[in-house]
Amino acid sequence: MTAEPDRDSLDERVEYHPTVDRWVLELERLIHGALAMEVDRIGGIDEYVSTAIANSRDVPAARKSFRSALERVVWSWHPEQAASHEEASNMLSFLEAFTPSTGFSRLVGFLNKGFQLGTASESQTERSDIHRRSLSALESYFPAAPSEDHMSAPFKSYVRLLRKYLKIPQYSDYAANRLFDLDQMSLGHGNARALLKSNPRVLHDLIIRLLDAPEPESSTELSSIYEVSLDDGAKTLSDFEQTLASVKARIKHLPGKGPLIFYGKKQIKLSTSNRGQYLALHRWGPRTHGLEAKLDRLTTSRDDG
Amino acid sequence: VSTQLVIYELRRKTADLRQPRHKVRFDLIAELLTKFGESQPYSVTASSLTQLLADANFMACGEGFSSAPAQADYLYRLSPVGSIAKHCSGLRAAYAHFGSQPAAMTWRELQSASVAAKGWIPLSEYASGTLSGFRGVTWWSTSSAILSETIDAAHLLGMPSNWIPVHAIVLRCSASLAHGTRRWTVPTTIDGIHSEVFHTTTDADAPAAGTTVDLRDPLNLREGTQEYLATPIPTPLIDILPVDLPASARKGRTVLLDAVLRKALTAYYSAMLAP
Repeated sequence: MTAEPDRDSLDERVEYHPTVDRWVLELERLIHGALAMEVDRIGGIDEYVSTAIANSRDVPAARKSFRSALERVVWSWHPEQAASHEEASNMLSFLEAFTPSTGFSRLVGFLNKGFQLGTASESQTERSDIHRRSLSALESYFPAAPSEDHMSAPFKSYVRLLRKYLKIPQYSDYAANRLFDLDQMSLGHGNARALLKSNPRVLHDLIIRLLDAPEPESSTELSSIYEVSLDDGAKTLSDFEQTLASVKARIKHLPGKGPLIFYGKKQIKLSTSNRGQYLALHRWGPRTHGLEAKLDRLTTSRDDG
Repeated sequence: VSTQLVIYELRRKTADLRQPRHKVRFDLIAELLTKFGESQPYSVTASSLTQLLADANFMACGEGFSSAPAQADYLYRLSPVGSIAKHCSGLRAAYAHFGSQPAAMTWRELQSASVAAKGWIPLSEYASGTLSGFRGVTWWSTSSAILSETIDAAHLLGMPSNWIPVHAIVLRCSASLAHGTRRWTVPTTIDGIHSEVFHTTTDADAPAAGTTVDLRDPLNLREGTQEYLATPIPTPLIDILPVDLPASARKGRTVLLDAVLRKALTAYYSAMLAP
């Protein structure tokens, strides 16, 4: 048996001595993966902390010193210098679960710098994951919009950040949903149409939202989206219909009535009357797509040859 | 010398004595730990854990004697909510966020569903595949006390307080439905190699079940109750019930895996080596 430091004597459990310094040490260990087995067993880094606090001899003191320790650790954290994806991911778990005040500015700063950040060893997927996780962590700071009287500077900078991410295709759906949730984007006045034109990925979430929206907003905006779908062609129209089907809704063109969406007990009348375009897309859409595919193949084989 | 290392060495000797058929595999895992710079398997780093989880010997769980859980309606298990989200296959799209959000949020969603359902909720509502666990297996007992005296029952099952999550889920699996569809086994020394708390049964006795270490009195550890190991279980066989275990539920019942408990475990394992 080789001699080595006794973990028990060096490392008195934080539950017995929940001082800020002791918590800082524990947090550093957790962030750097030194307690991986313990964390896996308890189901996550946030649960590890909650459980340690619940087991503490002095629970209020443990909670207070943990929060102070976390602020201190986050204060010295620089996301762009994270040694590994795992380290960044662990820190984000803390921010998301416990929302230390210093974490907010760190996250906004990180996300505002875009994709130049991240360690050299990180793959594109890992960077993307960290960006998504960072957005989720920020969401914890503002799960709902503050009242008009309390529209703080942090909230305004958060909204600005979301508008920035609205323009990045892989995050546009997330940003749009958040802006809607925070009442920072309305669906009326053609906004839905403009949003869909610039971000086709938001189609699904938009439709789902509008189906549950009150009249006349739901009818006006769904009509608008429907027209965009008709203009765009068979693929977008098919996405529109599939989204309806995914929530057990369907669209029907009834002679003399125009298009109607049936959604549960709700009937939403669409103001568009372009039945001819709808039928043309349904009749010719697949055939046109087949022709396009054939042309693509011909072009590709010619290029290859 | 680290108490964890003492425990590891004692457990290794106990394994050689009581379950010699697993010696080769135990030695191979021990070699691997040395290669990763780890002296024992109980508190390894994230990097070592990742490599261990990719090793066939470390992952060779559920190879103990076949077992038929005793006559009981249900088998029970206490689990952190995060582990369920992590180890359920076929998580339904509407619940994909369970795997990434804080445990407390997932727990609250399940708690709301449980209140609406007035109790147990089918796991299949959330996932269509199977439930497994760390190293591909889950640990169960027939002790229904987990529903009423959760903390004491968890200690009886060999769980110190720091392994008992605040946001917990009790799982139940219908014993009659589980028979025939699952292979329940008696936990082996390889199954328990990563855990500081594990009672090695004697193969020569052909035990029908594993045995837990009862931690309720940390100064007087003794054999606990029966336990079983299961390979992945289809979610339709499982119901779940969220259980809140805050500080108030633990007061006066805290048994941490600390120097005192480790010393007691050392004595417990030493006694198993006595002729």
